[in-house]
Parts: sequence; C-alpha cells; structure tokens
Amino acid sequence: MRCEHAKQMISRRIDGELDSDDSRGLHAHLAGCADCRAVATQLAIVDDRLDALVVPEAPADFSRKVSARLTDQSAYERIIRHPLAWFPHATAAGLAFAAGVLLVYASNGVRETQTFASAASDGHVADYLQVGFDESIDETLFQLIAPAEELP
Amino acid sequence: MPELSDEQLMEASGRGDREAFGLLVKRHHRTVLSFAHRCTNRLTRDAVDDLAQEVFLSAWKSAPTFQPQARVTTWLFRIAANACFNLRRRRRLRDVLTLRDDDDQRLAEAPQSTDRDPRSAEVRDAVDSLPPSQRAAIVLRHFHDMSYTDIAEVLDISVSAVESLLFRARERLRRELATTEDLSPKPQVLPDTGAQP
Ligand SMILES: [Zn+2]
Repeated sequence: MRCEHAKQMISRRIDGELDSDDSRGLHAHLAGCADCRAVATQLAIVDDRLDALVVPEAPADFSRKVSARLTDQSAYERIIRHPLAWFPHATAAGLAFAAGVLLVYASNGVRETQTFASAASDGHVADYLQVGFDESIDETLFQLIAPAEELP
Repeated sequence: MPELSDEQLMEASGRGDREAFGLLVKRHHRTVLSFAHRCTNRLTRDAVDDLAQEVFLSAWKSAPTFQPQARVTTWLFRIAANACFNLRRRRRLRDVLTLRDDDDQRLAEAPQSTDRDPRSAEVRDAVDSLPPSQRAAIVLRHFHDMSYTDIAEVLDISVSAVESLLFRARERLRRELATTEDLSPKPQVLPDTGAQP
C-alpha cells in the first residue's frame, strides 16, 4: 500500500467508514511506516481540535422571525400575482420619469437629455423604474393591498 | 394526536400549511443555525441568523416540489449549503469589484464570544481557509454525524468525492494547524519502576 492511499484510509477510519479488510491492510502499513503513523496521530488530534468550533445558542425568537418574514413574503407575492395592483404605482413611476426628463432638459440642456433618453432606450430605463418600484413596494403598497385581501 | 414526521409536515407545508411549517422550523432551526455558523465563521451572529432565516424561507418556497422519499434534514442541509456557497461567491465577487454593500456588515470580522479556548481562533481560521465544499463536508461529518452517503446527497456529489473532500480537508487542516500549534501527542507519563538504566 502506498502512503497516499494509507492516509486516505486513515481519514476513512476516523469516520468509521473502513471495512475490516481495508482496516487490516492499513494496520499492516502503519506497522511498517513511521511517517503514516505520525500522520494518523496528527489527524486524530486535528479531529479533536475541531470540537473547539463551538456555536452560540440559537436565538429564542428565531421561529417568530421566520414566521414574520413568511408573512411579508406572501404579501409581496400577492402584489406580484396581481399586476393591476401595480397600476397606480406604475403610473406614478411613469410621471416621475417624465418629470425627470423635463427637469434634466430644463437645467442641463439638450445634450444631457439626449444621454438620459438614449440610456432609457438602451434598456437602462428598467434600472430607473426598478428603483421606483422597489421603494414603492414598502409600507404604502402593503397598506393599499392588504385590506382588500386578508393575509394568511 | 400522534406526532407527525418531518416528511408529513413538509408535505403539509407544500399545501400551504403554515402551522406545519412552523413546527418544522422549531424542530430544525438549531441544526440549520449551527451548520451555518460553522460554515461561515467570519459572519456576525446576526448575519448567520439572517442566513438561516433565508434557508427556511427558501424551504417554504420550494416545499411544493419536495419529494416525499427524500429526508427533510438532508434537503434542509442542501439548501443551507447552497446558501453558504452563494454567500461566499458574493463575497469573492465583492472583493473583485471592491464594492461595498450590506454584506460588509455581515462580513465584519466578529470574534465569536463563544471562544473560551484561545486555540479555537486558530481552528476557526484553519477551517475558514478550507474551500467551501471541503468545509461543508467536514462540518456535516464531524458535527452532524452524517454518513458519506448522506453527505453525497446533500452536496450532490458521489460517495468517493465525499471521501476525497474529507481527506483533503483533514490534510489541509493538519498542515495549517501544524504551523500554529503543537500537533504532537501529549507525552505519556510512564510509571516509575525504579529500575536504573
Ligand atoms: Zn506510509
């Protein structure tokens, strides 16, 4: 048996996954190989040291927090599933976008407006709108949607 | 009423039963939290709690696709392992782009107050230096007492790949720890026979 193979078997032995044939083979190799004996000892110590990786107690309110996030999530999904609910906000975002274009035009002149408009036509407009939507999903939208349908 | 099995609870969760899912969370949150803690040493405690919450949110979302022949614990570990790997990928991407975002707070190097043994910091650093799959394998084996077959299922790899991951992880830990601490066995105290050499 080669040392590399023996070391792999040492690892399996630590895990209790070595059958009796392999176990005898490893035993014979270790009897004649001081290097692998040293590795076996060190690996056993490493395994012991891992116990130092302690974790803190689980927080008492963990289940409650998961439950709260599930409630938030299902409210969010309800909004996604009912696209009409977006209408007032999509309109608001559209108006805000138009206002932005006008504002840029008024303050910085034609060149900037063209840049802004070309960014919009390149698809970057989605980024602008996305920001608007994300923000509007907050409290206000929940308040608008939630009373209409009872949340679970 | 007889206590429902994990799998029965998961099937009920798949049909939208929040109460059944709540029982599963109560049953398994400690396991998921401890796995997440050990797989993400450098996260703050709050960030790990948050990650574990996300694991359960993701479990709830995919509950309708749960296969009843699978084990819930294996399935939860799989989601948790993926969450830890993804976090690590995000961290690497952030390092490359040198962007700062909310993850900075999560990734604050927070010494864990649970360390009493000064050597445990060295062990944590050594474990942290392992590639994610090696780390997940060693955590599942050492702390969750999982068989090679179960680890293979969690990490979606072959049993021989698990064997190889564990071997490489141990070899790496052995070398890492050998540079910082004494890995020689404690000298045995032999009984004094009074005989002169
Ligand atoms: Zn050898």
